[in-house]
Amino acid sequence: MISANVLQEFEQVSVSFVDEDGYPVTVPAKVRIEDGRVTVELPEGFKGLTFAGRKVNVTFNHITPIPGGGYTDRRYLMIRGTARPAPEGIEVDVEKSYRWDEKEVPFPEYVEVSSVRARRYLERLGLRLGLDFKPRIGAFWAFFRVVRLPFLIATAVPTAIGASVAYYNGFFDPLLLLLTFVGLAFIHLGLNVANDYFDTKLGADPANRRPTPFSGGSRAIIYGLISESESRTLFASFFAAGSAIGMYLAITRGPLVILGLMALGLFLAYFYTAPPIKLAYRGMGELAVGTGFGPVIVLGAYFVQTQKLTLDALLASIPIGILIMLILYVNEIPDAPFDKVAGKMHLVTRISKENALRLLAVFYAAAYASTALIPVLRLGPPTVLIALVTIPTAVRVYRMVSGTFGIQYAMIPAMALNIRNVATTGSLLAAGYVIGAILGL
Amino acid sequence: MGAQLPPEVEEVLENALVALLTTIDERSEPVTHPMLPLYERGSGKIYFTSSVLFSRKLEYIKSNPKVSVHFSVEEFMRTGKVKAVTVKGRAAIDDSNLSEGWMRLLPLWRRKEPYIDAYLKQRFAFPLFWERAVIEVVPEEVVVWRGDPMSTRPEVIKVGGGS
Repeated sequence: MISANVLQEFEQVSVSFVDEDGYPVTVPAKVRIEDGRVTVELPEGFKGLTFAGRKVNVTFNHITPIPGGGYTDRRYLMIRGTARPAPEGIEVDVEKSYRWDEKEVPFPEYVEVSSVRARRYLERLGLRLGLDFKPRIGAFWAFFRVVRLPFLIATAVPTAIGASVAYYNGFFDPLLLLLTFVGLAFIHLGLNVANDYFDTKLGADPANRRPTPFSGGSRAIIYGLISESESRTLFASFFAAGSAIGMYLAITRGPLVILGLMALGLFLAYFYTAPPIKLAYRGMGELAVGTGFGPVIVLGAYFVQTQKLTLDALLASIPIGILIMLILYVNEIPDAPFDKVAGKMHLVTRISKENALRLLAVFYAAAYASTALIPVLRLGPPTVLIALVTIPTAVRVYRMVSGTFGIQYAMIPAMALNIRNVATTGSLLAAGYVIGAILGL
Repeated sequence: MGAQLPPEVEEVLENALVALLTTIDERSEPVTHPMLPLYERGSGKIYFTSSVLFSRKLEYIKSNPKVSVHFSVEEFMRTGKVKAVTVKGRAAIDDSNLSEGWMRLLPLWRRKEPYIDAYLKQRFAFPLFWERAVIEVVPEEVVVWRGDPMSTRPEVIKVGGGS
């Protein structure tokens, strides 16, 4: 039942009907709602019309004009039904009503839930015109979105740490480092594209009404920027290119370790979301990411430089593994309600908000504690402790996540700060080894 | 020939921040869509751009081009010279270039929403939002309430159609 209170929310009230000439006509109106009864007083010039049996649409509309131009705070309520004569004018037998209030359903969410309709329109138009319609955002931005380019920072930082530990131990070949990074980047891009492909196929991304720049996937298939088959080809190509570089490094630097790490990395990257294993759907995605972006990348980058595996490189991989996993963990928070519906039962979907926050604090503490252990165990220079300067930022991240937990759009600054903090902390850790080497510590 | 709209109506069309575009759906019932109206004084035509995200109205207009465009509330019209205006006319959809065709209306859009360029720069964030059809309305009849619509008879003006 429509409440009379709604009338106070809207300045613009009108009624629409189809006139004798077959035109829709909208005129200003005065509406009263009493006990769910909707009566409409018509304006001069339309009072005498016979409305009995006509379908009408009563519109309540509001915007707040902005002094400098434009408007905000949009909301409307539509009541559709059949008119019958009443002393005031007409009474509407309500058949349907719907409303939108951007305070309740923010515009980005409204856009998101409408994307299916848009795709259908584009498909029909494409069939009619014999064209394959894709939203045009430019080749760079399409690539940027499809592969989620900025997330390559999660490969760059652990690669730098592996190479920095090697540098500290007296080994450094910039060309090998570049080759290692390019190979790992290909595999990471393959992971991103495969993740989007399978999350779209398995329903997790389509179920997400409130994606953000950091969560909810790239939406590339959903928006029609890339087809499913193009996506399959793309992630297979990235994995193949990464594997080819890995093979070259294996042949030239040591097959057993590099092939072993590469096989593990590819397994984690592909089966992160690919059936039948779907690690992320079984609460093992965090472990997979922590392992893949921690020990696998750091040890791989280190081995390419040094041709050996050492305890100090393994220890250096632990804080960054935890930190990169924390990017995923925090970004899972806004997705959790939608992922749960789609059966993507990652860690955040399995625990309460309180425990999720406790775990966030524990993970951050573990990352910093394992960093502090490096000089304590004499497995690295004391200069790595410069990474601890980001502890206050981590506390800020915790507070921001705590204050906006699960409120998707409000969490964006917290997610952004978390990523920045992870990248800064990891970079400082890498810098700590280089400075230690330079100072001879 | 121009549309011969009265100057005070043209002022509404040029300044209004929101219009109620009413179309006829597949069951021959009216459906109203609040939208940002754009007006080109020379041509006398009213324009809207509609994202393919909200494409239902486009389908309705393709099936039945008869529409009305309603303006009321002084704050929304940004002029107090009239109290309400309803324009009856015929609409046509141009979806031949969804990515860029609507951009010719950007100067008119910018006048009403000066921040639109900032959003457009973020096109990659909402790719489907910026795939837009143009709705062109050629006015045929204008109903103008110069006083309180509940107590003042409106003036009905037949207009000559677009140039």
